[in-house]
Parts: sequence; structure tokens; C-alpha cells
Amino acid sequence: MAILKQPDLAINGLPVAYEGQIKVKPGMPKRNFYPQVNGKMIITSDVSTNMSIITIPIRVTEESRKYFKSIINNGDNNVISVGDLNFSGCTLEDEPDVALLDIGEYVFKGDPAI
Amino acid sequence: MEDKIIFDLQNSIKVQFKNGDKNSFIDLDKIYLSAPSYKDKDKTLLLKKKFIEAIFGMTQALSKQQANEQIENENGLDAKAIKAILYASPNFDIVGYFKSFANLLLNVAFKDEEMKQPLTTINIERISEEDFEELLAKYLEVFFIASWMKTLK
Repeated sequence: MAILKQPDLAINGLPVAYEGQIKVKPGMPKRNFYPQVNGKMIITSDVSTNMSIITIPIRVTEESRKYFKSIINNGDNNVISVGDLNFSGCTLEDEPDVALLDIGEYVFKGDPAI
Repeated sequence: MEDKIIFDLQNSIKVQFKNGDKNSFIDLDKIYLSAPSYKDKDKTLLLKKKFIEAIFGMTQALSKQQANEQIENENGLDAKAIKAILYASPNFDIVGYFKSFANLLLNVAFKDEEMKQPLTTINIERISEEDFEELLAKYLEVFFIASWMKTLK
């Protein structure tokens, strides 16, 4: 079996180094199922889940802190590519509360994958 | 020698693009290429060496006259001939050569005409095989072959 390569990550057109595994939820409406006695099953769509969630593990340095401060200032004007997946309109949820040189998880929420 | 060319992709690729202040995705169908400079020498010297090895590998099978004719062709080597040399040369590490060229592209290939937004590894990996092959051959034809072939005369 071929050795799988970890996906490349780019934010706003620039490659970003990360450590560990990126977690990606591409985003789609959730389906709710309501089976009925003597009736057809009712299926509804829950759009509250129709957004992407990308969690990126980064080893925190002074440089990375400055970089992610600029990302926060961009608001939702961030685009992220992880391997073959593309996400636009991404907003950094919060800065992780970690010490320097520890790994922090940066969570972005944005449009579903295109 | 030209200092930049525009390459048209047959298969467009989705790339991140900064339009003013807005970050978005676009379907890129043109790549803007600049000539390499001395700071790229760690990549270009390797490409040159391996290409010359490929030519020697091919010409070993020809007679001396045929080999000289190949090298002294008035029209030089065009993209088609370059591809033939790369694929036909025996024992030539074409995969390694493509990887070396992809490495050079990080410094010389751009998404915009102003050449301010370079291609990244993610972008390069999305280029179709056919387009990549054409891009490599065209780049060698325009920026390298004339000076490289002087080495062989």
C-alpha cells in the first residue's frame, strides 16, 4: 500500500505549516428523520450544520501569533485549501489559549467545501 | 531572450486569489512565468545537467553525423522535440525531473499578470499531467534551450 501524504494547507494563497492532523468537516445540511406509524417517514433539513469547520493544529510561536492576529482582522475574508478541498468565507473562531511552543488548535468556520 | 511568458492551461485549476482586499477562489486558466534568475541556480543547474544527460543518452544511439544534426538544428529544440528527448532518453529519471521543475515553478510561476501572487504547492499539484508536461517543455524552450545548447557545440 502506498504511503499516504498529509494534505498541503494554504490560507489566503500562502502555505501554512502545521503539526499533526487537520480535522475537516466539509459542511452539509443535516437530515432529521421522523418515522411515522401508518405514514411516510418525514425527512427535514437542518441548515444550522451547513458550514465547514476546519481545525488546524499549529505549534505556537511569536511569528504564528502575529500571523493569526492578521487572520482575525480579516474577519470572514479568509480562504483555505486543504488538499483538494476549498473553503471560502472562513472566520477564525478564537485564538487558542496555549503557551508558546505548545500546539494550539485554530478553528475556522466558513462556507461549505467547494 | 524573453523575460516572461503566459502559458494557457487546457484544464483550468481552482486557486486562491487575492482581488484587491478580497480573498476568493478563481478558475485559473493562465499561468504567468518569469525567467529564472541567479538565485534559482540550485534548481536550474540541476535541470540543465539532467537535460544534457538526456540528450547524450539519446544521441549515443545515433551516428556522429545524426547526433551533430540533432544538436545543430537551426531551429533549435521546440517544445515537441524537448518532450521527445525527455521521454525517449534511456535511463532518464523523468519523475525526478518533473519534481525538480515543480520546485522551480514555486519561484517563477504566478497567478496574476503583475506577478505578485506566486503559485503554491497546492496549486501546482492541481495542474493536469498534460498541462504540466506542456508547461515544462514550453518553459525549457523559451528560457533555457538556446543557452544550454551552446554547451553542446
